[in-house]
Amino acid sequence: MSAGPPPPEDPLRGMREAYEQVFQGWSKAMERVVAGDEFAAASGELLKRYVEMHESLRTASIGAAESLHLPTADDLARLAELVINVERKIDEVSDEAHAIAARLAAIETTLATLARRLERPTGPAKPPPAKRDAARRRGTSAAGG
Amino acid sequence: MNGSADGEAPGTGPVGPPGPAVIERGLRMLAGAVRVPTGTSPKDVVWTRNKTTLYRYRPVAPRAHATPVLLVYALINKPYILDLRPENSFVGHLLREGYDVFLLDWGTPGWEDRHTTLDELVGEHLPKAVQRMRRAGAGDEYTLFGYCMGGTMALMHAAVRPEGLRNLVVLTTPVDFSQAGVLSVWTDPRHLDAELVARALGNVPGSLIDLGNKMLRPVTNVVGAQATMWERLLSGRDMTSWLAMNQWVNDGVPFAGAAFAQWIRHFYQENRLVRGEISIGGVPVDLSRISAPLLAIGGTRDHIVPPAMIRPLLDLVSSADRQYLELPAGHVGLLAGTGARESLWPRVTAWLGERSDETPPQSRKV
Repeated sequence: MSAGPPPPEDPLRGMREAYEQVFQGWSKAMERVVAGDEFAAASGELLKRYVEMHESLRTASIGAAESLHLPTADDLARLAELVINVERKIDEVSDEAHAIAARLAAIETTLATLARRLERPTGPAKPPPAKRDAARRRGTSAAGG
Repeated sequence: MNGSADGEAPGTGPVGPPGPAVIERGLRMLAGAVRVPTGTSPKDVVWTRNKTTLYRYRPVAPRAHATPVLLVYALINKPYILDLRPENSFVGHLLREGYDVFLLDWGTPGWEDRHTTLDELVGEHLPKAVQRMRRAGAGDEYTLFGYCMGGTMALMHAAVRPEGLRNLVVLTTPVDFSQAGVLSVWTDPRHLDAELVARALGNVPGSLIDLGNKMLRPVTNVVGAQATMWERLLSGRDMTSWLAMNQWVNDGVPFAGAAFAQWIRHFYQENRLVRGEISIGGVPVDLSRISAPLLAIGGTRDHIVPPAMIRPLLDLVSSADRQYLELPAGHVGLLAGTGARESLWPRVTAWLGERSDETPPQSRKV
């Protein structure tokens, strides 16, 4: 019985082996490089040049847009900021409405409690304090008439 | 949901010796042409303000804890790392454990947001999210869970508005910026003028932040990630988790310019947080005002936020109940790596479970 043709060689195996062999060394070496002050200075300078170029391009494009009476990103952003402020105000109104609803609910609860007390059957009503004091001064009972 | 499947199954089973189709498939993956769904746990919008959105995840198990969890993510990258894949979701774990889970997503800033500061986000949006969480019936007390820079933002909020804060969990959260390692060198004011960058670029592109993070370990992050992909692909392993993580890594959001300048100047360059020299909305951030139970977690192999940046936090807060946990993982692998579900997630929920109110039995429903 034939075992058949051998499996084809994995062409990436060599690359994987090479990668595994050099990976640790390269990794450590690169980490030492990027951790150094020289790398930070060089990359900082590169970033500075990039943002300066970016700023120049932006300034030029704003000038071009303005000369053509086209809206710039800043114009659109101002519009968006207005929408954001409206949204904020709606949020604040919603908060106020919620607070008012909570206060109304508390008032309703108090009123309901008072209504229940008023509906409750009670004995003869006491005279108002002023009338009671006058009766006390006269030495008579207001309630007894 | 972020990303969408393109109809192509990510895992193809054993492929044998690489043929042109496999090579093409690998190249398409590297180019980002093969995508998988991420952040798929169902959730509802509770509140929005500008780009900030507060979500509430739908329960998947009876609610066992009355104290809700508010997840606060960083301004860098997107928060779906917390809910990367159904089989690899920290959010899913919290939901299965019976927590009421909220997520504060800062969104993607546009040009109009280039002046947004940390004061606005931490001083206005975060307290408002807490208020809306309460209004949504989540109770008066809550657990705050901050990841990376989101943890720093959570700490500032906790120091300025400690009322109602039941527990505080911060994961790979920078606190002492004098211990930032390589990032301390790169952000040295001699090399980086953050105000110039913010003024010129408006918002700092996510790709630039991502490049910075990758350059911390260039060979591992650039060559190593690709080597891992080819290794998995050529051995016929499922590519879903690699694709999801690769998608997230390359899905950075711009950093609002003013917030970026503040973050670099006040935190990295001047280390103001530990010195008590940060103010939010005019209120000084005094970390000693934090008295809620605190769990701080670091990763031994984290090169973005080394453990030395986190540990000093325990001496700065006044919490009687405070704990530092360090696990053998990196900055992202700690939360979303293959070992996270056995190492980190159960420890977090065990810690929280002891410090969260139980839901009354009559309220337990899905």
